[in-house]
Amino acid sequence: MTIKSLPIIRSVVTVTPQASVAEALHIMLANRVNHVPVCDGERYLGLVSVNDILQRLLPAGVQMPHGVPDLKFAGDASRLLGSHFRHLSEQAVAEIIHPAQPLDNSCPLLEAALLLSKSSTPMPVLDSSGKLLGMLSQRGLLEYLSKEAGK
Amino acid sequence: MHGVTPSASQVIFGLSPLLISVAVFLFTYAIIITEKINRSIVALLGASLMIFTGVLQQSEALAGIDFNTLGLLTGMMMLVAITQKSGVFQYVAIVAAKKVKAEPWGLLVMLSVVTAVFSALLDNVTTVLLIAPVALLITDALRITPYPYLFSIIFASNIGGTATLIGDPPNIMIGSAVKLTFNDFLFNLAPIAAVVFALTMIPIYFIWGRKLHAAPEDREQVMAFDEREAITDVPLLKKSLAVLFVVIVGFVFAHSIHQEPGTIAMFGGALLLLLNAFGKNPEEQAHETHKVFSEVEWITIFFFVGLFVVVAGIEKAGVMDLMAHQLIELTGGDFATTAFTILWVSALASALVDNIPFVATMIPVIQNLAPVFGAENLAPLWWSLALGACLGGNGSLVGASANLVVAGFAERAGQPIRFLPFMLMAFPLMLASIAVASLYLYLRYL
Repeated sequence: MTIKSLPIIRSVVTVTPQASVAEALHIMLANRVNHVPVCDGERYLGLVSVNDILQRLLPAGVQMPHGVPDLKFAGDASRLLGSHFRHLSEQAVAEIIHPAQPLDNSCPLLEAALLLSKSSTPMPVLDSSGKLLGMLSQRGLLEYLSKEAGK
Repeated sequence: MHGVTPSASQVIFGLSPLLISVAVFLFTYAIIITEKINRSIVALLGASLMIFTGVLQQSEALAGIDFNTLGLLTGMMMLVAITQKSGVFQYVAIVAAKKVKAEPWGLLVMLSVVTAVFSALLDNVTTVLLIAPVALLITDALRITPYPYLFSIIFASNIGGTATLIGDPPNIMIGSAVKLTFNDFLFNLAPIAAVVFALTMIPIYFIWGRKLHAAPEDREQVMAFDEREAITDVPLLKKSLAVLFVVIVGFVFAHSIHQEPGTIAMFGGALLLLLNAFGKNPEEQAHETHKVFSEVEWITIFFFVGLFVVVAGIEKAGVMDLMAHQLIELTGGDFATTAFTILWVSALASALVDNIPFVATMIPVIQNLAPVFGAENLAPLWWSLALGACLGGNGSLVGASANLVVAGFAERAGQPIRFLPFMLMAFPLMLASIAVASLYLYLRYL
């Protein structure tokens, strides 16, 4: 039984790599999701998450190994955050994409459960030609199992 | 290099070891300079080539690695990894920034002074590991380019490191090889280091300083930083400062207690790990210790490992000896000419290759001059070597490991420091500092 045959893959909105970060964020906020897949035509490229955006708003001096370990002393620094936000909003999604490992739709259910349990994000599901079919989330899988258990 | 046992090289196809070793050396350095491949990978491959081509045997390659330096670097990186969690270095940097009201040029001078002072007392790599991230944070908040700050931090770390016995590996090596004390270095090198530092700030002002400008609102943002909040862990702060104190005292007396700085630094690292582990269960201890180990800059360490082996190769083939002896022949046995030649050749060599292997080769060469000039008269030659090797490190991005560490930070911050643009500014500045050092040597010793 592969995940292809189960009603667990949810179709989702996607963004193009040329779209701005502001657009990607708008899509995530409007659809109440934390991740959006990035596709060039039908080809899956990776994910953009709210956390990818949040991390890049932080000063470079804290984002690196040996960086400043905490920022309590820096106060609100709202000008810094605001200026980073404006700068980041105009950048292309391609700049902040993260290459989340996709699932193949011929993947068996148990393997999919294992990979999802190790993933911090929902996983994109691709067909054999690399076309994005939708996303499989931890919630989606549990919802399916919960329904099955109730039968 | 100490420890390399000479044995005839059995180079492949019966080629000359001199030719092959120079080819491998030049090939390795050429690829490092292109920056296309991570430098630690290139250095390790170059090291392997030295062995595969038969220039070195594995045992000779291992003997060429200066484990004292690696121990010193690794130990200090462990110390820094723990100490920086206490926030003490942010504290000092924020106080310095607020003292000048977050005015960009004043900030550049203050961060450079802090870097120079820390570099004189800690290893340069340690110092830039502490200062560069804070500099990036403050310039970010001021919305100004961090490049001049990172550039000045590189210069300040190498100049500050010149000032003391423990400030820079060449000084450590010279001090332990020829029994010069901590105070000898302080009295003879600290004054000229201070002068060179002050003079270096002048061109930096004209190139960048006078154009730096921050909006008043952004300066307010930095003035709102609360340095007391930067101290995050008071017990850890006390433990860290106590161990750092023990380590620095250990460095000062390393010679009289017959210990190498590498041992002292590793002991310090282990001691602080121990103090940090008290009261924690084995799992927490394993987690914390693993975290500290993982913060060691392994790219730098493995780069050193590879580089030491590559240099051991050309050294065994006689390249370094050849160069050093020709240098002595060139000066015709005149003391002042010899001192100036050592200074300038050390500076040029240290700008392009690691100063540690170079200094290791020069030490026996200078010791061999005792019959010519008298053993008690050699001190100015040691100061020439130390000044050339330490200040020369400013000449290029590969001139000192601290430079490469800062470049690593700059890259992650999206402000890469490229090899050639850096050298275009840094090399003339380095030459100027050596000219000043020449004048100092002439006036004081020659």
